[in-house]
Amino acid sequence: MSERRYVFSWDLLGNLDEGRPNLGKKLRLEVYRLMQYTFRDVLEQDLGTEKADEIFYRAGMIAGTEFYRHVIGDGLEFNDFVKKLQVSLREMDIGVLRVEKTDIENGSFIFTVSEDVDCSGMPVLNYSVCTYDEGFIAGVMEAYTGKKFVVKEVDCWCTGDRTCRFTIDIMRIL
Amino acid sequence: MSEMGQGRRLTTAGTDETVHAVLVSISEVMTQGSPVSPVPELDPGDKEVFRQIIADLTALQQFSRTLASGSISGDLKVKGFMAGYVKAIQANLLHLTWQAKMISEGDLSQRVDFMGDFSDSFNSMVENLQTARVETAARERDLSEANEHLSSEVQERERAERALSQVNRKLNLLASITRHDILNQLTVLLGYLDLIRDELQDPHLRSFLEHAEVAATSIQHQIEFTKEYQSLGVESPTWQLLGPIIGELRAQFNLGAVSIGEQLGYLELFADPLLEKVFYNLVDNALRYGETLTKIEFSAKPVPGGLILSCEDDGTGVPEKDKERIFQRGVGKHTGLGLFLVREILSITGMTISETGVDGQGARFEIFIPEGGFRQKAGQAITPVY
Repeated sequence: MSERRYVFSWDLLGNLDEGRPNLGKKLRLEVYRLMQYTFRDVLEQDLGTEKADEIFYRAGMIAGTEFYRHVIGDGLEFNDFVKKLQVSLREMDIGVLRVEKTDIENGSFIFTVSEDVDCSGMPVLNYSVCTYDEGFIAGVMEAYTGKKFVVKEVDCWCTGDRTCRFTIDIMRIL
Repeated sequence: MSEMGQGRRLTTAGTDETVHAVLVSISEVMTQGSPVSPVPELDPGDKEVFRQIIADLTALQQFSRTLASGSISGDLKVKGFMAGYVKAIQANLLHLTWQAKMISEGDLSQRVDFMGDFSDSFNSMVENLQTARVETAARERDLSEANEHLSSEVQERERAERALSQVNRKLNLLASITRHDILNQLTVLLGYLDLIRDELQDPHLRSFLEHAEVAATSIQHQIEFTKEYQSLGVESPTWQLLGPIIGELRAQFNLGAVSIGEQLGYLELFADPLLEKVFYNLVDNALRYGETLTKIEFSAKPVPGGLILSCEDDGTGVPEKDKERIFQRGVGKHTGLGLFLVREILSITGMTISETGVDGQGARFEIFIPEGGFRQKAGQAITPVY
């Protein structure tokens, strides 16, 4: 690949106070989804469903890692880390994070996200759509623990469930 | 994935009876838990949809029942809105369970969001816990500080007690040596006074000599008393059986026709080791001043708050005006120290003594022993005490 143009940097989020003195930081959710699902459409057309999902997962991981670095921060005990993650996701209108299980010893967790920015309110499609969220959670967990995780959405609004449920397990190398 | 979720529809035109049978089966699952009526006749595609509906409803029902019984960690495979809402309840319950666990482990930062009145109640409870914890921590700090202060005071007191004990030992040693020297000199003095009496014929001078002898003897008694008084309170109080103490008295005195009786059984008193001096002085007192004395009786009777131990004789008794004075130091016909010592010894463990006899009919000394200061000897049958 020639010299890269789009390497992500937190700076790319820009100075919103300066750039949007009147409109501010808020954006209607439909616009976010409009962008996400049109991206998906094109990616699927060009690369296939599986590759499109993989790209979203990887993008989510970058987002989760950067979110951890710039919003959560290092040095928190696990409960404080979860607390800060919950508060941050809620304050930034991303979703209502709740914890169902934490098994730190075995690196196994179950989180749920209600009112998820990616899917809540969408029609029932019979497949889960929160691939970006899976990557996001994996990125946050990896940044916090220094270990790789596999995140899988087992319940999603789009499969008829009313809250998205994610299993989070440490990646075991066979 | 449920067939219903894929949007399939019953395609069989069917008869009214068939549709009715399908509806009845669904109703039976909804109301009774499982279909009771025969499975309706359907074409293969519709039959599969029908089977899936019944299976989903049954699974949903079983999951709900498990959830209702308190087992919240089950897994419902069914998808769709109905199952989704039940699973949302399960998700909330699992999250609340996790939060309760975190709280039980001491994390009081947990809060519940977006669960209506429950959030308010739960968050209020946790905030109260947090307040209580802060208050408890403050009290613990206060207690800890008070404890440290007390500990410091105890150490200070222990140091003072050790210093006092050392001073006391030195004083006792000094008193013992001085007493010994004075008594030696008194022996010499009394010896010379005795020699002088042999040589002195003048009645007037002999009268002076007798006064001198009385004074010297009085000094001797007072000095000897200091030996007993010095021992008072030095040793810790102990439980002492009264029978042997009173039995010993019979051997210590020349009783003549006077009898000493006791009805104390296996009574024990918690008292200064000088307790025997109490009984010695009471008997000595009776023998000295009883005049018409023939018997001395020791007895005990329970009273509210304790026990009265009496020492009663049939001598001449104590005049009304002297009943309290006789316990004062220096008051009495002999040394004036005996009953004073008695009261002092008893007071070490909270006992009191008074004279309650009838003048002319005999003396009666009553010792009041508070609860906890007396007992029947362990392992012995309780003998009536009266």
